[in-house]
Amino acid sequence: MAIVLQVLNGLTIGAIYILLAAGLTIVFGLQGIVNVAHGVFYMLGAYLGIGLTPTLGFPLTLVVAFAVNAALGLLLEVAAIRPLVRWKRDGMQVLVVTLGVAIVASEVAKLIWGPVPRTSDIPDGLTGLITIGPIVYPTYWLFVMAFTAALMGGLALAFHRTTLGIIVQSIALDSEVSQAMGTNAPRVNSLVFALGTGVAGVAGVLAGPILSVYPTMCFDLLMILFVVVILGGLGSLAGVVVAGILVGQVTAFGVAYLSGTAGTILAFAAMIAVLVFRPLGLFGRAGILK
Amino acid sequence: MTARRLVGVAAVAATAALPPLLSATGSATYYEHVVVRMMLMGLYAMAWDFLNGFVGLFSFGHAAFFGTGAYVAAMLVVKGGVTSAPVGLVLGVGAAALLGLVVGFFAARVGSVAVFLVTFAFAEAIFLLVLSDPGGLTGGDNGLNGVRVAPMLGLALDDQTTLYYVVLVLLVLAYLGLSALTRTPFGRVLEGIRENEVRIRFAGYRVEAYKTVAFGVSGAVAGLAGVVTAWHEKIASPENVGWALSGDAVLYAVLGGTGTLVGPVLGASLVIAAREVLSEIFRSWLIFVGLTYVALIFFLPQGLYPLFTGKRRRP
Repeated sequence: MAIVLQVLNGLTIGAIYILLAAGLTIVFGLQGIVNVAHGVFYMLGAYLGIGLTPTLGFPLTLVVAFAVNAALGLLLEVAAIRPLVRWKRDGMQVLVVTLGVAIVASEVAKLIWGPVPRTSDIPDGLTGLITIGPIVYPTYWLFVMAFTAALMGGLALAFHRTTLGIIVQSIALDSEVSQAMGTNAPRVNSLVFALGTGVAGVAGVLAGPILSVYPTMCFDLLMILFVVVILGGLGSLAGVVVAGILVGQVTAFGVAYLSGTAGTILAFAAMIAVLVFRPLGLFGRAGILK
Repeated sequence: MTARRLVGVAAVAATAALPPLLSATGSATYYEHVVVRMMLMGLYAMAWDFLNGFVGLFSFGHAAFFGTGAYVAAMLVVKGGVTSAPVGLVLGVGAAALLGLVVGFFAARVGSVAVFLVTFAFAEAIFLLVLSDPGGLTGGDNGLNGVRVAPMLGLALDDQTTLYYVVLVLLVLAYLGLSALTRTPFGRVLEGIRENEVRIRFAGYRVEAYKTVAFGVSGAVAGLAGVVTAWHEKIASPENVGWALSGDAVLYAVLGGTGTLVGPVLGASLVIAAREVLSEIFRSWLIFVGLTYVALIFFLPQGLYPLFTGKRRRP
């Protein structure tokens, strides 16, 4: 039974990874850039979760966290990233700018909320344990998994079944041709960017009761997110889901049977192994890895 | 060119003349310490610039090479009881070069932005490894204290003023070595990869092999900075492997001007001087670092160096 519990733990942590990596990988697929400040929205979501859940209630907090982070993400994209892309600066410069933003945000968070780690309470109605046959598991953790599955399912539907989704795919495939067909690629890119940061904010709220919340968390999760994104294949949403589950499992079993850092190092070793045999990652397509 | 060389010689001479002048002030030890740190960080950022400015590879894991140098040097003295400086140099730089080749092997096989992800992931894995204190070798959070090396060639390396001159010589040698390397056929191929990788590939060069070797060279120089830093600070600590140090290399080089090798030294000196002043006044001085990153990319993407030479390298 201990093994089943570890699998479930891995799925829960994997769910958080998936929600966070989704935004990173889609933005990469569309614009060929990596947003180092992505973790900032996760951090902000977590602090919003701590601050707002007692007054607004959990569902409304999720909505507010999404809206606030999407709005801030939109601001970042329009103010800092879009000009660099328009000036045809290389991808490295976006990295440096978003790194700067992340450092400032982390320091400001330290000034506002202090450096001491916190956790948020499990929202009312989701406390307690669920018994499924011989397995007893926290309700909230199961909720996180179900929520992630629903959200990712919704995203997949949106990308494959709506007009906007098809436009997004066409831009990912070839931005110039897509624009020649009359799509407004910069606007779509901004929207998708905002969607990604909004989801990262939601992930922050969800992770609050499970992981600890502190100002430098926006950097500490980056390495594992990069592993997920590379493992899945840069730009691939399906890859993120598979790699997120995989890395979640490796992390959970590493923590349970070896040590806290062993899980992360194992996940990293898995990434290296995949890179040797498939440099583009599990679901990566040639050409998209610019 | 000659004017620039003259300025360079003058700068080195001025740095060499500094210690006797500093002894007139009350706190010569402190100022010397800061200048040695500037030079070592300059050397470290120069290693990063070799990779970014000349090959176009953006590493965000250079602390791994620096830290490997520092930890190997420290482990030899503290855990192994080997105080010989040449042994520390050879093994420290060798280990960092080897790691550079390994990281380079993978980084050479992914796209340019993904190099950032791969190097970062590598460095974080090594950081976690160091923190986990495998076999009691790295001292975990505390690091390894008491790194005192024996004299080399009659030079007492644990004397700060002596080390000051050793570091100055190393910095000049590294600059001359790396800039000579960029003028060799090997260096020309590297610059070709930066300008047009596909073309170099079709010209018959094995781009992956070139990139891998470039990573090895850069790792070795960063490792050298790490070894000497461990001797200077008498300690190797997890900070020497942390991502913040990887970020510092980027900051110093981008501030000073990439593709110049000298720019990073200038950038390191300025940031370290600013850190000494600002961190006393304002605890969250990292905010300035973050803002500098943003401001540089928007307003001064070529860094400070072109302001001095008056010409721009690339449009």
